[in-house]
Amino acid sequence: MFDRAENVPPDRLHAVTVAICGLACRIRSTNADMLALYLRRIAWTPLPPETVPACRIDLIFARDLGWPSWEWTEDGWAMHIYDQIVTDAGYHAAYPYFPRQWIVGEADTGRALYLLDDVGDLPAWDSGSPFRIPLHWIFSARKGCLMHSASLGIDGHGILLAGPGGSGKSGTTLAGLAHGLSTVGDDYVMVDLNEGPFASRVYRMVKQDAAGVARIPGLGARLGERRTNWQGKFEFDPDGLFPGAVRDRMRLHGILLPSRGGGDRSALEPVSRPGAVRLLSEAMSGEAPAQKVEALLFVVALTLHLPTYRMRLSTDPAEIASTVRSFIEARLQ
Amino acid sequence: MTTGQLAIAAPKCVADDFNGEIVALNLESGLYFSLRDLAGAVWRDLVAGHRAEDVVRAVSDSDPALGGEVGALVDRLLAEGLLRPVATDVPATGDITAAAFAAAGARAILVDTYDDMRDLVLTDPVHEVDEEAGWPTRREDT
Repeated sequence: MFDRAENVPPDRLHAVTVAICGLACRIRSTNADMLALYLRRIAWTPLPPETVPACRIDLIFARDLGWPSWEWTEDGWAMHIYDQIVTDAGYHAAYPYFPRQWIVGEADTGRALYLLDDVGDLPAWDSGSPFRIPLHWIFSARKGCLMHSASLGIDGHGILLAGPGGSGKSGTTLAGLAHGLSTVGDDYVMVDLNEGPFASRVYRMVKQDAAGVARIPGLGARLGERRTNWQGKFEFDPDGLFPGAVRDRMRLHGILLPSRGGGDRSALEPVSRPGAVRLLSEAMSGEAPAQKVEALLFVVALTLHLPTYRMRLSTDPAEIASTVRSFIEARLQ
Repeated sequence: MTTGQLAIAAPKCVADDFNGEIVALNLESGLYFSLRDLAGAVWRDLVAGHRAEDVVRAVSDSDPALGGEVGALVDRLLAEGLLRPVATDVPATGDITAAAFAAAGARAILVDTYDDMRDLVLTDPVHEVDEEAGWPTRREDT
């Protein structure tokens, strides 16, 4: 597959070289519209065309090139066994979740490839956080990790908000943004331990369902007539609605695991390291089969530096934001 | 005292350097370790291919007592299953840094050991994991 991708005539590919979390990345696709859509969602900065990229992600639709489908033909597979086979061969893989979809990477070169039959085979969840699986592979090689987490902060210092879908990460982020806190992302952020725990912005979008939007006074009117995504959530660039609240990077001082509690006061409760590791391992990269020992090691290292608390959320966005602010300020003292 | 070249005892041990702190995980014992300051420097020298006795000697030359502690650390890293002897010597990369590290004042051999995740780490990857999620997510019926 990589050989085939390498030999696609350049005039059949649309390509850009951009910096994502400071990393020079070449992105190519056979479909100009999809490339443009993905670039609208990723937080990138332009680079000169002559920049030598550190990684490359190809988004190739076989039909655009007249290629046949790349089908998995063997009977019976188990994700973790398949994952082990490709890992032993020096590759990463996130296939097969559905037919005709291959998402693969080369561990040594930083090259990653989506090989799909057709645009319609692109997983709906991928466009919400484009390239999150290959970006996780690429960051992992650099002591980083794309984590399924949100973030809130003050003046470049902040916390991760981790937990399964529906636990309240995005709602907590939105509550913070509406009350003066900043963020580097509400769904996936890049966490690295190179200079201590830091979180960096990878995506431009914040997502929230109608109920969450309604909890923030005036937000619904400011969003206007937007359509919801495949999850029934509104997606918007928070920079436009909360000017100055979006940061590229913040130093981390703790991890909060939100859960919907109710009442008028949020409550914080310490979580044991094993409990935190278990939960954060599952948050490493969402749908990617990332439950590998290297991922576990990263989470262990992260929890050695960051205290973890369960946060039972009140129903008051202002109170939630105030609790997060107080937590961060206490950690800074 | 341990002598010769050592390497990370893969596959039973995985370890990485996080901004100077070595985090090492023994997948057989379920213990994990944090090595900081001089302990981290010694680890880096050893996995860079420097012979154990050369690392100990480099520290002992300026501080024999501290050299003894470094020797004890090396023994412990083997005993804990984090490092193993190398059968065939390979060229070391870079210079030994532990002595300069100690001379600069970072003389503490900080090794923290944790056993609070043994259940998680020792999950049988074949029989006990959730097949969809993979290791280390344990199946609910185990």
